[in-house]
Amino acid sequence: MKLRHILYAVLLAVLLASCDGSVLVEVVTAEDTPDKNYQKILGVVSGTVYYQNNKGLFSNSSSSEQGSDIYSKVLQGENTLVANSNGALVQYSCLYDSQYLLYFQSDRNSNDGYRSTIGLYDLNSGTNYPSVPLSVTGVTATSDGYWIKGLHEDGGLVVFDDANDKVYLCYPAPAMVNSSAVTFTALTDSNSVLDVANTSSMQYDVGAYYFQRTQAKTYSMMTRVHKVNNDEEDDDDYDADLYFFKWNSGVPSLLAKSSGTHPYRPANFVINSSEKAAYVLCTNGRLYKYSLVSETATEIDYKSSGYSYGTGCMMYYISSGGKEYIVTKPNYKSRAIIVLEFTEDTAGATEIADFDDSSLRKGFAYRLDSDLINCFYELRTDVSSKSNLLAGTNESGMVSITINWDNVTNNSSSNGSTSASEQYDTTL
Amino acid sequence: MKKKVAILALSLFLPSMAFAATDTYRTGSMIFHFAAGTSMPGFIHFFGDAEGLDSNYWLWGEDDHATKLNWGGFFSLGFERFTSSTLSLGGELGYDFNYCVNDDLFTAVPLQFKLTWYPVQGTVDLPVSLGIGTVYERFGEDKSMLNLSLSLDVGMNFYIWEHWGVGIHSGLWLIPEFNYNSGDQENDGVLGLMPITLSVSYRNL
Repeated sequence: MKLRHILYAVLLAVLLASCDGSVLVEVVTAEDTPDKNYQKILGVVSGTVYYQNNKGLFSNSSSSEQGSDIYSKVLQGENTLVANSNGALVQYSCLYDSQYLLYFQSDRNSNDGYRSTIGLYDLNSGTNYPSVPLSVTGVTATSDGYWIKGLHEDGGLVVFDDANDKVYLCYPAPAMVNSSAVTFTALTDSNSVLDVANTSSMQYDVGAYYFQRTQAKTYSMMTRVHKVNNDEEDDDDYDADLYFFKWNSGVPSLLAKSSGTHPYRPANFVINSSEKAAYVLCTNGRLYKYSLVSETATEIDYKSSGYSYGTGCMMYYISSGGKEYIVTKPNYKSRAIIVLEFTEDTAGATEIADFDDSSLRKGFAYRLDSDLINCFYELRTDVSSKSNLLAGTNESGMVSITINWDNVTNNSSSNGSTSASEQYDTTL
Repeated sequence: MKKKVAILALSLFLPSMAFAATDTYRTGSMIFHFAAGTSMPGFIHFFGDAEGLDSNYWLWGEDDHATKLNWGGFFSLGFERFTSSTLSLGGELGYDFNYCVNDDLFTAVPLQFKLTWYPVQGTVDLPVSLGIGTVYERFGEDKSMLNLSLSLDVGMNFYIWEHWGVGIHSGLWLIPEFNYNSGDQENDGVLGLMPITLSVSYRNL
């Protein structure tokens, strides 16, 4: 065989290998997309879903109405609660105590991330209070207020005390939230405070906050990552502090923490059903397992999934039939839904066994395999067989999906189902 | 009825035949042409029972049973060389684009071998071509495939001067999709496009 023939064969092989099929299916299933970028699904109260998108804070109560096209639902049910305006965009928001929407807006007049007021929308009265005085017990305010790193589910507030290089996780009590004042309380015990004194010249994800919320439990993880060796570009040259919290009745407490271990930069995490192990997915696709048997979380094992993930990526945990599954979406919009699978470990003591991954484009993944998933919310968990979620996408609207646990790794309609874009059902 | 069809056919062909008393082309004659125009989405047919899909989608637009493609553009560059006075062999490189209803872009780059028959030739040519080759198609940011392509093209070229002519062409492009991954093979189908183009030709008799 001549060299020319070999080159032709290699060229053809490269062309074929670079192909990603089902072009015609993509064409005929294309839909005009709503001009919305979902950022956060805040919660569902009595069938009304509250969410943050690129235009502000909204609610939609027309869950039973199924429009004939993607705009029908918007026209029929969407209510604007807080609209973004030039120079005032909703940055962080949460639904607290099923009654208040708390939020921070970008403010061109403020000093960086410092805030002395917080926005509050009272769902009962339908009144918006854009500048309610803010205080945080346990953290000293500067003249500009508090350096807010984020506002998250259940009123989780992350505050950075840059004078002392500390990051605090804070929470409000129901009696401390009203239209006159909103007061948070910081976890100030030394184990729960993230010390971010600069030990290297390169720090990442300082006070980054991740959460895992189901209808039954809420966990959160706060991180700081710093690069040990600035000259090398190696996955193992990062040190990470990972603090895992469990929320009980709206109050967080430290579950376990790990300092100086070596995951790459975390993308998100889940804690398993026995609460004995945490799985931290990193942006480079590695899945790290930590034992949570004691308050010192220890790294047990890691597996490489072969995909890359964005920070805050979808991680939905399922335990069924002696297996643990994590439903994920890589940070490339046309990547399929990926389900990571491994043997269940109720003791939190063994390595990640029988690790495998499945690519899904059908069933519940049918509309999510072609867009980024920015947020999701568990509507209901059937204890024995299925989960119902809302998923908000980057540009394709929101959908409701049902995941059948028994077939969660099958790339077929047996794994579940999905609604059409913007025709989600919050009563699933 | 047969009489009417015969009269209609004669009325169409006789004027042209008048220009073609003798063969214009001979073995070795060559034609180069450039064409530009629009392409009309015709249909998408799926061979299998892909989940949630109909078997056929027709024409353009957002209707549930439409292809979701809009009218687009088509360009081609071709060359042919006669192997007899009425048959030529050649090749054509094309570029087709159609925007989809969600503003994603569908593009196809066909490269074909073409067999063309010239039943009428002279000042007016009436070529009929069959083509077979490959096509690189792409949709959106990242969906792409390399596939087979087939085409039928009919046209009329009017040579204003001995060597230079202009023409109008139309036909049917078939772009079958055969997926390499077994999991995607229920999505196998075929796209039909109808280009309508104006052409400029140069012939070397």
